[in-house]
Amino acid sequence: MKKNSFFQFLLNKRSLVILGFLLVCAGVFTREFFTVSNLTNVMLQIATDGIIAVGATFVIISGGIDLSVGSLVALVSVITIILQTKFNTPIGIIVSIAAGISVGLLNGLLITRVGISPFVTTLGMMTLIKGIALAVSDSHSHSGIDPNFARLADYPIFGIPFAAIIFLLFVLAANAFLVKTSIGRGYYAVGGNPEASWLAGLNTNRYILMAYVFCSFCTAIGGILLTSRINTGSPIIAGDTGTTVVSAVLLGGTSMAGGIGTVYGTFIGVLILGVLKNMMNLMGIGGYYQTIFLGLLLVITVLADRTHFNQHK
Amino acid sequence: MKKLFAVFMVTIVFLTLSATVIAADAPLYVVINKSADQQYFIDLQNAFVAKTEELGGTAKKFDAKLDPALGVSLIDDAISAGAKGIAITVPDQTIGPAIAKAAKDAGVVLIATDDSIVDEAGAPVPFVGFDGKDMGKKVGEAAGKLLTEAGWLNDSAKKVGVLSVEVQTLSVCNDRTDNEKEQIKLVGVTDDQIFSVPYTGETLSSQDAAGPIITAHPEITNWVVFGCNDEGVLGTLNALATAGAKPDDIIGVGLGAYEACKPWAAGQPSGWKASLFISGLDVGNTAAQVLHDAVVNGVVPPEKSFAPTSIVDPTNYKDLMDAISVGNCSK
Repeated sequence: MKKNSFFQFLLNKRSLVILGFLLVCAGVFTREFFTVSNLTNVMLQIATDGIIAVGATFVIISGGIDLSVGSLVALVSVITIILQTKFNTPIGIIVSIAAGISVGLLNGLLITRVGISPFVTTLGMMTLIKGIALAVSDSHSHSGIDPNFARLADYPIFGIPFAAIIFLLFVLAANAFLVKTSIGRGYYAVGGNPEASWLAGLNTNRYILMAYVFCSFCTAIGGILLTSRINTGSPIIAGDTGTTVVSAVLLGGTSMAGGIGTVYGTFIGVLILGVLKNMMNLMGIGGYYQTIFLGLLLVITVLADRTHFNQHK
Repeated sequence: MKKLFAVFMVTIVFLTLSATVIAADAPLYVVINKSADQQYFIDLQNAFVAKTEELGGTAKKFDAKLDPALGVSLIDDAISAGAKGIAITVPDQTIGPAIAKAAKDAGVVLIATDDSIVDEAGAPVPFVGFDGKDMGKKVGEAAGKLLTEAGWLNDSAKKVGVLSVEVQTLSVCNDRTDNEKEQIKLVGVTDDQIFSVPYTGETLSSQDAAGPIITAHPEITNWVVFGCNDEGVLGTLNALATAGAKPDDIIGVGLGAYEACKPWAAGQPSGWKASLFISGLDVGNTAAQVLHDAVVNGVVPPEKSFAPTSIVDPTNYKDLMDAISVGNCSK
């Protein structure tokens, strides 16, 4: 009985268990991981994907998927720098956020009004946005010219990079909204059982639409901070962002079936991926081995999710 | 459960404290690729690691996967890992200022391999690679020499056309092809005999671009082909073969030799008559030496360090190319 309850605990808290295991491994196998400079580095590296993952959590909890986030980061990056060069940084940021929200609206409307599946809609948008990013940038990168913007993402506040603080604020605010408000709790209902939610009087289409808008808004913010960090507007950045974000959300315990998940879980998922990548880099484990490890971790997580789901049926 | 958590937290705190007092033994150097699935870059990294270890250091290999953002992250990771020197082939030259600043702030020696970059002030970061203009000069000279030896320009029955395969948006490629054209003109080729074939750097792109140009000039009986890399020449040779040109009526001079040597190794007749051999091994070795000299001996890295190049042909490629590259010719 005790053995079974311990296994149940591990299954329920699997993301925390994985993170704990990775942190111990990082300490044992690398002598640099727990240095202050590296921990700051990890915080900075996870911040942009983390902010996007917060938005993606809403989409996945509501039963959808957004594959267009990586392309949107590239578009935001290009818009921010080109408009910074032609006008100024605030205009670049404002137009980038507006572009992000517009993409979210378009995704949401195609899914809710036209009835195209989230997978097909966002796959199409991913390609379309990538094309627009390449067209706007004339297929090449542009360097930023505002030194203040270039320092924005890693500007330290009490030793913590600005991007990491924004990420933490997004996590806290989004979690409070999902857990503490009736509208937030509605997302679980919509994702868990859309028909029943509709019959109960919830406007499911509006929930889904707002989930995609929020996800794209988060992507725009993440994209702006990433652009600041590299001080470059590039149409080819963030190629792995879509995969990383969905992986982080799933690792955090959110179910692809919808209706289950937390923003705190996503935060843990983002940490797992960040720690794993950083640890493997410090250990000198190459890019393709990293991809294999991350893939294995994701498959194991999905299997654990399936086991957990079956036990609660 | 609380006990377990307490033990875990104590372990983490202990590891954090111990991490700050442990120092590395041999100096660590990191080599960052822009694309670890290309043979040239694999050779570069492997040579860098081998040379570094031979010089008494340790080395780690990272792959930026053609992603500029990942390139910046890997610089940060290299610094966190305690690297004393970093060699990077940037996935995008515009990240130069950001990574140069990160390295400078951390007191780490940074050199650029293959693609040059500048720092925040616009000053060039020390570069290890090839001299584009010199490469173009050598390719053009080889093509000119082969053309003169063939005697096509003096034969009234033959009409010569030159296909210059160019990535016109890349300055490093223009350095090569501009000099190739200058050299071919020295043996008597005129501007109206030279046709530019614009491409992206890939084989299929040059093949598609060359096809219409070849078709539009049926009067030309003999072709000279050179370009920015072996892929450009290969695509153009494919287009010539499709148009019915015979290998004996073509002088193809590549840049890289990794495609040119394949028909040579297979003993097949082809339009490839020569190629300029450039080796990732040479760049890796030179980069490792430059970083070692800077970190261990305090030598300021030179602004430019050029790796050697040599023209190879079917008769000498096995002697002039290294064993790894020759082995790849049979793949």
